[in-house]
Amino acid sequence: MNQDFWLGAAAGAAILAILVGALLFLAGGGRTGLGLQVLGRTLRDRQFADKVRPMLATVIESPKPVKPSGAPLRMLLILQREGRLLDFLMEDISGAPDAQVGFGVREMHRKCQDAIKKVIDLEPVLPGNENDTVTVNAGFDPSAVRLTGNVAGSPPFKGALIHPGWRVRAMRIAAPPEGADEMVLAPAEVEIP
Amino acid sequence: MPASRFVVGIDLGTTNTALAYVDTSVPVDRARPEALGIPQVVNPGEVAERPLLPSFLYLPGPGEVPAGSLNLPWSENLDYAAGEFARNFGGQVPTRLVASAKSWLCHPGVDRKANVLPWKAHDDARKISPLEASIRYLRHLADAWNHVMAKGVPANRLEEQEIVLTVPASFDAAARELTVEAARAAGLEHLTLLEEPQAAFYAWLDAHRDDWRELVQVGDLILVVDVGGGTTDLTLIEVGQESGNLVLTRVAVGDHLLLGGDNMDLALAHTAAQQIKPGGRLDAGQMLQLGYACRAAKESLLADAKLTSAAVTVLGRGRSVIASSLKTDLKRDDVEKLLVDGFFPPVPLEAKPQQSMAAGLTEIGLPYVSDPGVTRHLAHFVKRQSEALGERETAGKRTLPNAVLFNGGVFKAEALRKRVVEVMSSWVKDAEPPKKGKKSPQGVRSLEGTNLDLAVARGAAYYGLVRRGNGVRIRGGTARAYYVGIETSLPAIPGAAPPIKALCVAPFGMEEGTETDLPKQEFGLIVGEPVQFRFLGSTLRRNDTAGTLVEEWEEQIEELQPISVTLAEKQGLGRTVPVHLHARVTEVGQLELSCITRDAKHRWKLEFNVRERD
Repeated sequence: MNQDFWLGAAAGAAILAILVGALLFLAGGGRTGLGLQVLGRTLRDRQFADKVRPMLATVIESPKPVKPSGAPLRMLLILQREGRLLDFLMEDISGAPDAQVGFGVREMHRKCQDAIKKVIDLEPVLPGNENDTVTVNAGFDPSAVRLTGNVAGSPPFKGALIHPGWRVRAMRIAAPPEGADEMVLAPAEVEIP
Repeated sequence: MPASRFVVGIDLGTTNTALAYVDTSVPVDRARPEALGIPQVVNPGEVAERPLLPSFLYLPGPGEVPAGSLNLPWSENLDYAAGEFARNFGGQVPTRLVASAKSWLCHPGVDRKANVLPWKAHDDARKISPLEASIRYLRHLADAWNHVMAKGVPANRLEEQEIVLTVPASFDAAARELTVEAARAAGLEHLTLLEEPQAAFYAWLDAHRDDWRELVQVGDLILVVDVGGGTTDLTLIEVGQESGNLVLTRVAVGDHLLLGGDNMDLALAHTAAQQIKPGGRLDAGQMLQLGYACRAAKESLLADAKLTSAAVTVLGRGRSVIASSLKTDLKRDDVEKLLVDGFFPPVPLEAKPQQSMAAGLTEIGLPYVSDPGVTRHLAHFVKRQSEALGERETAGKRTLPNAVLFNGGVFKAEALRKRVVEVMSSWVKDAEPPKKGKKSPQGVRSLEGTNLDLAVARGAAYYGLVRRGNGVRIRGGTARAYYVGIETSLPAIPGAAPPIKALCVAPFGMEEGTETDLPKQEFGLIVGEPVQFRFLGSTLRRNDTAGTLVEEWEEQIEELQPISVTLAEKQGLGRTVPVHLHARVTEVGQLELSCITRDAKHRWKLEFNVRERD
């Protein structure tokens, strides 16, 4: 009876293993074999195991590529719309006589300056006239003040103001209407006769 | 109605609309009219505040502008734009641009409630009526006010405030009626009308609240010259005295003249176009650029006497901005010749405006004046009024103006103000030749101190204060006498309208809230059938009273659009009902004419005809 029991148990286990294998095979869509292969090799091959380990760590989904923002282009759009700056910069002006460049630029200069004044308020970073002597104290913001010349030691520094800098105090640039193509810096113009 | 916190003045102009207000919660001596910054679309998708709302509407077709780009802070998915973007962009799209709606509103040649604007649009295009355009400007102001000022406080909404709405002094009864209709449609009920030149004068009074009595004298006759973008409006105000106090009376107004600053800029742009591209033609976009450039050049030349010329540049229209750019210099001499001599020539008082059509000033549709000489129109007005004023019973009063108040952006140019003063002074000198031992008459002086662009709106707001008893009021009443035509028994000439006599129904100078009755002249009207009366007006005849019958009227009285009435059937009335006419000037400032039965039990209002002239 003891032997019979063990035979029956072995046969039962074999049937069960076949059933489980078949189930795994079906559920695994044919990848069960691969899984068993990986199992075997992982047990035998340490290098292989090291390669598999990070693959089992939590997967972080990489972000979907976002549409580039049009924000960096807005000022250029404004200067083109109000003062034709982009047209000018992209134009081949090598053949135009100096006088024509002169009066064209004067007109654009006026319009672009007006456009800038309309959307941003500018102020100098350091008040004062050029070549005034200024003091730069400790803890200055290196993105706002650049030191040149014989810089030595530690602040405060005394020096001549070569360029007072520009800083935007206020900005009034409207967001584009929803749905507008921000990559369009100047619309094509079509005149209906 | 309890007194509102704000009194608001609205200048609904031909080319620009403005709003000013006085906050009456501030002590009266410190309460000053302030202009409202009006949010408006200035570029697609961009809204900004401006002191003026250009009176232009842009009506794009479906899908022609990015969705939502005409949105306003208070309104989404608008399919039209009013203001700066409409003016600037619409200038290149005449078929989508509504302009000069106000001139159309008082144009007897069109049906003012029919969809006729843009005038250049094709038949199947989007169109609106001159009345609707006016409603939209006023609604924009109301929405802007409610957004900026009321901020959710119901009592501060514009609809709840006392509003003074200005109209040209030259607007007749029908055009005033339409203006009131537009305001009511925009939700503005608490309304008073004020003539624009008077509003400008109130702005001057406000600017000189403390010292105006020292700046004018009894006997002064002040000419208000209001040259707007599209129209010129004239008014005479007399300084009198009553029990020791100075009193101001508006004694005359001019005819409606479609001639303004835009005509001057246009003339200058055409000259510059000839110079900049001789023999060639500039396209619409370049002409628009040139127009702005010329206006800037004009302003710098006329403001700075040391400049001898100013550059005018038109940038290339395609991508090549430099290679196809054009430039010319506007010379001071040319500009002065064109503007100062062309539009303000030195003329004697006897000068009459030319009737021939002048090229460059006419556009199909609006009845632009054919003579660009503003001073000739001034002379014509002053001459005719001085004769009529001389006929008044109070002899010895001045009949030629000895002071002038300028209004309108055109007069920022000192050269033009100076010229008008010179011309007017010459009239005074010619009329009073110097006598021995008597000093020669003084020249005409100019009253200064108002903002030429915003004076009308500010003055209107100040008038709101005056109406509450804080300040001096200009008297005047209606600026016209009104008449109906009575057919004479003369045989009619075939093909010609039968001759008529003019029966005065409302005398000159009727004050707001007064009425007149003509029980003696009865008409038998047939019930149920429309009856039309010929309707006439005079800005000259001051001595006619209700009931005066004028036989020879052609010189001084002009025919207006007819008025009509249909007697509804009523119980106890026969088929033919004897009625008489009754006139009333409402508190708002409209003229109301009615037919009344003998027993005064029944009354029918006569309607002004704003439809097309037959």
